[in-house]
Amino acid sequence: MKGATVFVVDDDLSVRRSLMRLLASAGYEVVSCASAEEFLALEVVRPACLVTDVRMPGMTGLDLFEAVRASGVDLPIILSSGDADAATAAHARANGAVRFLTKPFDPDELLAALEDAIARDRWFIRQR
Amino acid sequence: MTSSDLEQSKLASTRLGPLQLAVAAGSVAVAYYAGVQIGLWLTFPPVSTTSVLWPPNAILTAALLLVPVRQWWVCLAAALPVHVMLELGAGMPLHLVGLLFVTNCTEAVLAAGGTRLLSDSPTQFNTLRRVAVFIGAAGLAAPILSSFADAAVAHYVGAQPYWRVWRVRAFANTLTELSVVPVVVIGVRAMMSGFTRPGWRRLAEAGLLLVALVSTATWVLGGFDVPGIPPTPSVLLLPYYFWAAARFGVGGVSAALFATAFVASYETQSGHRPFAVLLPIDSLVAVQMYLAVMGVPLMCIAGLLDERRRAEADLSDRLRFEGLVSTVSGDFVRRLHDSEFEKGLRHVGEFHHVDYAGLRLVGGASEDSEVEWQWTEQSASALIGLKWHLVFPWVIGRVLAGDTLIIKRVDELPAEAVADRNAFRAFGLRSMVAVPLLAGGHTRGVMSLVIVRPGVELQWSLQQLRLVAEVFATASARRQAELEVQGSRQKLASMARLSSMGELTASLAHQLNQPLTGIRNNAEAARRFIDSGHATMPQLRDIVLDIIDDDRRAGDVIRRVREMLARSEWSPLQLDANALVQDVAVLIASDAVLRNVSVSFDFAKGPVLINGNRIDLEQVLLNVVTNAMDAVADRPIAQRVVMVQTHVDDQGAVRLVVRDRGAGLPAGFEDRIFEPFVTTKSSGMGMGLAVARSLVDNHGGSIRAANHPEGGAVVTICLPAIPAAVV
Repeated sequence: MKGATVFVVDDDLSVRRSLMRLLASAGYEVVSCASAEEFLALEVVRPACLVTDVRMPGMTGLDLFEAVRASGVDLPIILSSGDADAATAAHARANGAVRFLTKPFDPDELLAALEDAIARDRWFIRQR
Repeated sequence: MTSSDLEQSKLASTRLGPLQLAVAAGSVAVAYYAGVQIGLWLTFPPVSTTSVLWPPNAILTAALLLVPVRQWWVCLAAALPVHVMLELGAGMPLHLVGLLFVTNCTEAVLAAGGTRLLSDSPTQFNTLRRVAVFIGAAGLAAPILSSFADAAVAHYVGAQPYWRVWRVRAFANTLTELSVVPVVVIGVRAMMSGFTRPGWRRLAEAGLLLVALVSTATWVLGGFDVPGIPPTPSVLLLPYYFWAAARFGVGGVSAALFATAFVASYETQSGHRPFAVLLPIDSLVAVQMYLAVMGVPLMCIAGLLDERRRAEADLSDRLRFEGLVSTVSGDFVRRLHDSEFEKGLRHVGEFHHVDYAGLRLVGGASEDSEVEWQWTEQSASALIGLKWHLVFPWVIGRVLAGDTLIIKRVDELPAEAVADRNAFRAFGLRSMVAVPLLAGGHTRGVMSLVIVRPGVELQWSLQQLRLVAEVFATASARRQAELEVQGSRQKLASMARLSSMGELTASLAHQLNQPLTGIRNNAEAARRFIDSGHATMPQLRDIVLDIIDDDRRAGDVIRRVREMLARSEWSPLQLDANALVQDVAVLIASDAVLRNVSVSFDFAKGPVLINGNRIDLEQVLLNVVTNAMDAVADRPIAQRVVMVQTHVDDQGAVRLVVRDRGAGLPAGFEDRIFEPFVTTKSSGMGMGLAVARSLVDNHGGSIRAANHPEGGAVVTICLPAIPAAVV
């Protein structure tokens, strides 16, 4: 999937590194951030997708999700968490998250979700 | 009465067996023979049937004191043929011989009967009372009363002057009773209760005294004239009697009197006269009076001195024993570890001069358990680790039934104690004392003391042994109770840990899922790189290293959880308080993130050493930190702050301080929150801090809670410093 960027936000270095490798092996450009604040300071190049952990110190993944939605950017977002309950997942999905993955997730599942998300982002870009 | 007095009075009332009786009868016959020979040899004209020193009656008295009343007839019957044979041989008519035997027996029966009736221990002469009873009954009443009969016999049958016979016989027999009976009784008693040879110094002193006394008496009573010395040289004998009284007791005085009387008689017979102005017989009576009159107070003094000496020895023994009991109990007050029991047994073993001291408990341990605590000298090392209930089943059975056993020789064990007898011989035991451990009306076990060295007497006092056993029994009961409390405390702590870990489930799931996600992603990436044909070795190596790291992280989380949930035994170790806090920090890290709580740490410099159980202390800290995070959960994010600090105070005690910026404790809750079922939370049982306090108590530490002046609560866990010598 050349030409698409995936933003990975996770406070866990090991998870970040593994995601960067996985996504690079699938042909994505990967930009990783250790916190939500770090991501918000970036310029987002489209087509892209944001993959963020939910549980992080400071701004959580859900806070980030709300912030991105509030800023009016229609960037597709995939949330992942190690201890998510069904209510959090439903809430995120209802508010426009592309997917909610529970760690440890199946890498193929993430890649499939990303493929959908990037396709959706390309469609959004074409619509504008 | 001491245990040895008790034994002596038993000795005089226990019936003798056939063999012992035969030996007693034989001894009486031989002694009576010797006594009559001496008596006849010292018989003077004109009173031809009356001796100045007549030992047979005193020998009979001694025999009747030593032999039980029911068996007296054997002694009297043994003396009869000897008496008849010897006196007939001396030319006396048969009827006179018979009547004199009756008067002799009368004297012995009066003397022994009176002493037995009035004395608390008739075979001992070591208190003023016992000596006074003996002098009154055997020394005065019996000879004086029986002499009326004897003089009558001599007068009517032998045609001798009544009062002269009475006077000679009364004085002679008084002197003989006083000078013979104590020596014979003390000697026989010493032989019967296992004769221990006196030291050479004492023998030498006795020999010197005897030689000096006999020499002086020979000179003084032989009537030798020395110019310049007044005619009352008998005063020169006094120092020897005092010497005998002070150093050798009543037996010594008695022997000294006998020696002097013998010398006096011998000298008189040889024609010398102590009081030269008197007739030989009067001179002798004068010596008898002199010796008897002086002997009575001297014997009383000797009895008094003996009594004082024994009282002093008893007192010093009691003080030593009290020292022993207070040492052992003091140790038990401080701690109830195995080492205190072993140390206590060593004190008891050394105090009683035994080779082995052991405690075996029943009830708590299984029937197969070995002796719980023991102390042995090198000589008794064969007894280490013996299974007493198998090796000495009869002894253990009897003692558990409440009996105290004192076994001085293997043949004191009854026939049914077959195994015990065999073990006694196999392990070379000489003697044993086994006392029940009684506490709270129950027999809790057995205390046993053993001697294996030859020639060592068992030193015991029943009262003392029982008291020591009670100290051990009470301590072991307390220890049992403490172990039970510790067991339930551990169970409770384990449940509390389970509950704390339950509260951390979400956090722990997160901590596990992070590395698992990393592993899965890395593995999938590696597969893809390999499949694409673009994989490089350095890239694959990096991926594998990350997988290994993540795997280790996941393993660490599982290990920590398992340790927290496992029921740990109490096994204190030297720990670093900083490392302890860091371990807990890892456990709560993701929970803090989840709740958006900032937890900061301030560590004291260097390793901060404490003694304790790591899991218990981590549980306490985890509980306190989790409470602190709960306390700030409802505050604005900026105030969700928890601070954990380690520091060492001036006394070297280690303090772990957890402070939060929450609402603080409601007034009056500072102490109460450590009570069970007291909580400030809407959910929760209120057991966490109660368990925490009991765990900290168990470490000899304290835990306190207070409100901080700037808001929020502060919980301080204080743990005792490790003594510098240990570090």
